[in-house]
Amino acid sequence: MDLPDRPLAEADPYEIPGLDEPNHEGWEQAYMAAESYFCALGIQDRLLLAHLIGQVLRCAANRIANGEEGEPARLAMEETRRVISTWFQRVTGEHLPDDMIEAQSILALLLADMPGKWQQWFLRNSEFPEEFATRLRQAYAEAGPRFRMRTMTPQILELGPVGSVAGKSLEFLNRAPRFGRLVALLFWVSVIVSLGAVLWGI
Amino acid sequence: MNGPSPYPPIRARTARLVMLLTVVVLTTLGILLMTDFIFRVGFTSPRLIFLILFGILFTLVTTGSAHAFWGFWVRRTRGLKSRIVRASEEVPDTNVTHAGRTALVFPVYNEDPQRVFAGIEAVFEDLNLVDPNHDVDIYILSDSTNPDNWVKEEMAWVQLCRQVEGFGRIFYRRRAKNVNRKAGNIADFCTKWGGDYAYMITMDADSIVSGKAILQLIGMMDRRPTAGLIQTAPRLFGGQSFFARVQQFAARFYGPIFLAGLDWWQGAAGNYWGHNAIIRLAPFTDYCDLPDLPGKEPFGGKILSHDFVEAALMVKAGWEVLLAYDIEDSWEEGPPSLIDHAKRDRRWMQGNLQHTWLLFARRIHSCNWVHLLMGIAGYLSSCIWFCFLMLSLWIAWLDKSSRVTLFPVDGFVGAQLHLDVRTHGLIIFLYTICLLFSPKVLAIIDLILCQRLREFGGLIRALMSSFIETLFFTLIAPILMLFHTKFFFWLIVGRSVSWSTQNRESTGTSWGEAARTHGGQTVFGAVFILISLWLDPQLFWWMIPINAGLVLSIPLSVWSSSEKLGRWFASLGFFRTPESFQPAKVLTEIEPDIHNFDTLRFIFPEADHSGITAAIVDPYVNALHVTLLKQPTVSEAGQASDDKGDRLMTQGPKALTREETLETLSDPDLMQQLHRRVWSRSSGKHTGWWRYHVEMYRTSEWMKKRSWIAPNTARSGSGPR
Repeated sequence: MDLPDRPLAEADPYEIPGLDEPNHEGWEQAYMAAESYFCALGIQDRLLLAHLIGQVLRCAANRIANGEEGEPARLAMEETRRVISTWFQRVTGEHLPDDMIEAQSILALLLADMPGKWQQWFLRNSEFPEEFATRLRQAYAEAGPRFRMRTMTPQILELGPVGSVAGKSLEFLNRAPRFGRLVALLFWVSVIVSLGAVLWGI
Repeated sequence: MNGPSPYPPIRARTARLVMLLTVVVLTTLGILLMTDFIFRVGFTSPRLIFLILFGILFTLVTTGSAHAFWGFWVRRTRGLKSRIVRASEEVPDTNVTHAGRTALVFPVYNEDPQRVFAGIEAVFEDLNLVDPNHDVDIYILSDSTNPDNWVKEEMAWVQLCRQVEGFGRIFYRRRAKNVNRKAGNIADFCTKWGGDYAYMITMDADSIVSGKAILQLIGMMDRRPTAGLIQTAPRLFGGQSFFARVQQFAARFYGPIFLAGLDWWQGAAGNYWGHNAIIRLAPFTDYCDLPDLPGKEPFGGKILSHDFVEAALMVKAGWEVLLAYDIEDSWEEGPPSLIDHAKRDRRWMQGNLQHTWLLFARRIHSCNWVHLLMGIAGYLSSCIWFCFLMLSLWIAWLDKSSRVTLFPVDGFVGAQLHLDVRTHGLIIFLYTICLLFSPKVLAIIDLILCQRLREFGGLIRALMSSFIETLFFTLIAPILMLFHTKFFFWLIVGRSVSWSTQNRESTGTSWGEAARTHGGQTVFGAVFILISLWLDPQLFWWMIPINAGLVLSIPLSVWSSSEKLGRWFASLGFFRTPESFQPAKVLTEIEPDIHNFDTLRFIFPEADHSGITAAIVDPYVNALHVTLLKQPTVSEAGQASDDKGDRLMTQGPKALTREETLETLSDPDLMQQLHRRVWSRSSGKHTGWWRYHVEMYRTSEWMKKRSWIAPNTARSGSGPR
C-alpha cells in the first residue's frame, strides 16, 4: 500500500464523506472487523495495519457517500477482500474466474509466506520485489496432479459348481426374505437337533 | 531378468510337497495317538466329534510347527536373505531398465492427522536424504468422515508441503463417498492417476518405510519384470503399552523363521497383506479389480479383506507375488490393548470368512487357496476350540452321570508299548506341547546362531521376555477364543462390522470399559471352574490355564494396556526389539515431527465442531478448504442447501448433524459465503455462538502463533522433478 499523499497531522477522519459521526458505532465495528481480518491474515506490523485499515475504511466510506446502503462492517469486509483480490491479480497477472479468485488470492498469501517474509510488501503497488511476485504466481495449491486415467474392470469370479449353486440360492433367499428366514431357521434347528442327537449318543 | 530364476517350478513344487508331507505326518501321528486313546477308553459318538475337532486343531498346530522347522532349515542352509533380495542383488545394474515413476499411497480414514503426517514427513525426508533425485510421489488418499479430521488433514498437508517443499510431490485428495472402503480408495487412485506411474507402494496410515527400503523395492521390481507384487514383512514399532510391547517382541523374535518357511513353500505365488508392499500398476489395474461376492454382507457383498484376493487374482493372471521378508526397514503400529486387538480381529474375521466363497473358485493357485484357507481357519479355530472345550465338559459329564467304571482296553499303544491310559494321555499332551513350543526354541537357536540376541536384550533377558510372553499369551488365548466365538455368532445372525478407525494410541483401558467388555467372559470362566470342579477335580487342574485367563480377563485387559507397566518392563530391558535397541533414523524422526504438527490443534474447544468453525472463521483455512474443493482432482465438491447455512449461522454448528456438517463442508460456495457472513456482521449482530467464537478468535494468542502460517521452516531440500 502506498503512503498517504499528505501529512497525517492534516488528516481528519471525519472529513471523509460517508465516515459520518452519527454512525460512529457502525464504523467502530467496521474498524474492528477490518483490523481482525488483517490480523487473521498474519499482519502484525501495526503501522502497516493502520494504513491498511485506513485504506479499506476510506473505500467503504466512499461507497456510502455514493449512495450505497449497508452496514459499515459488511462494506469494509467486502472492500478488504476486493482490495486483496485486485492487488493479487495485478501483481501476478493471473486472471482467475471470479468464484476462484478470492480464495486463491488468500491462499497464495499463505503459500508465498507473506505473513512471515513479505508483510511490508502486502498490498503495495510499487517497488515490488520480483521474488514475492514469482512466489505468489507459483503458489497454486495443486493437491492432486492432472488425471492420468487407467481403467479397472471387476474380474469375474468363476465360483465353480458348489459356489455357483450356493450363490444363486443365497441371492434367491435374499429376494424372498421371509422364505430365507424360514430356511435359515430350519437349517439351524436341524443342526442343533443333529448335534443334540450325536451328543446324547442316539 | 538374467540368470536362473530363484523360483524354478520344480523346486517350488518340491517345497510344497515336503511342507504338505511334514504337516500330514505330524498330524497323522497326533491323530493316531488320540484315536488309539479314544479306542482304549471307548468310542462313542461325542468322542468321535471330539476326535474330529482335535484333528482340525492339531492340523493348525502342526502347520505352524512345520513353518518354523523348514524356516529354520532354510535360514541355516540358504542364508538369511530372501530369494527375491538375493536374486536381485545378482543382476548387474547395466541389465536393468527403470520402468517408471512410483507413487507412495497412504489411505487415511479418520486417523490422527498429527501422527499420520508426521510419519509421511519422516518417510519423505528420509527418501530425499537417500536419493535427492528420486521419482517417488506421495499421495494421501483420505476417506475421512470426521469433519475435524478432514479440515486438519488439509491444514497438515499444507504445513507438510511447506516444511519439506513438497508441493507437486506430495498430493492430497479426499473422497466424498467411501465406495468400497480401503480397496475402493486405492482403486480410485489407480483409475485417476495410475497412468502416471509404473509402481505403487501401498501403505497404511501408520506405516513407515525407510527411503532405502523404498528404493530397494523399486530396484527389485525393475530387476524382475515378471514380479507383480513384492510384499515386505512390516515390523511392529512404537508400542508403549505392555500389550503392544509383548506383541512387538513376539512378532520380531519368532517372525524370521516363520516367514522364511512361508517364503520357502509359497515361492512366487505369495500373499499380499494390504500394505507395505510394492505393486506393478499395469497388471494390478488390469486383473485385480475386485468383484462383489454373491449375497449381502456379512458373508457376501463387497470384499472386506481385499488383499488376499488381489494376490490370488494377480497370481491367476500369471504374475509373481513375492515375499521380501528380510527388508528390515518396513514398519507398522499394532493395537495398544487387548480390546483394540479384538476390535481389529472382528473386522479381519468377517473379511477372512468372506473368503470361503473363493475356496470354490476355479483357477485359484493352490498356494493362494491355502492362504485363503489358513486365513479362514485362523479365526474359525477359536470357535472350534470353544466347541472342543464344551465337548470335553460334556464327555466328562456323560462319564460321571453314567456311573460306569472305566476299563480301558490295550489298544495299539497299550499292547505294543505297554503304557497305561494315563501315560498314553500324557504322551499326547507332551507331543502337543512339543509342537507348540518347538518354534519358540528354534527361534531362540536361530537368533543365537545369527548373533542377534543382543538386539533383544541378551540371552537372559530374551529368555525371560519369551517366558513372560508365553505366559501372557497363554492367558489371553482363551479370552480371544471367546471374542472370536462371539464375533462368529454375530456374523451368523447377520451383524456386519462397521468401518472404524484402528486405534494405535495407548490411552489405557479403564476398569469400567474392561468390566463391560470382559464381564461375561469372567462369569463364563467362573462357571467353567465350578463345573469342572464338580465333574472331576483332575479336569479342573487341566483347565487351569484356560480358566485363569478368563477369570482374570478384566485385570489382564487393564494392566496389559498400561503404558506404565510397559515402560517398567522396558526399563528392565525386557521385550526389547531391534527397533527399540537401535531405532532407524526414520523412526526417530517421527516423534519430533509429531510435535511439529502440534499447531494443528484448533483454537475452538468443542471437539465436534472445531473443524467447521475453523474452516468458516479462519481466512487461510477457509481459502485452503475452498480452493481444494474447487479442484476436481482433489475433492469431490457437493452442494448443500442454503437452509443448512442459515441454521449454522443462527444456531451454530450444533444445529447440524455430522452428515449435514460434512455436506456443508463439501459445498465450496456455501463455505465461502459463510466465511463472508461471519466476518461481515458487526459483533452485535452475531448470534451468541458465533459472537463468542469470533471474539475468541480475534483475541486469541493462537491466531498470532499459528506456525502453519509462520515462515517456511523447510529442513531439507526436496527432490527436484
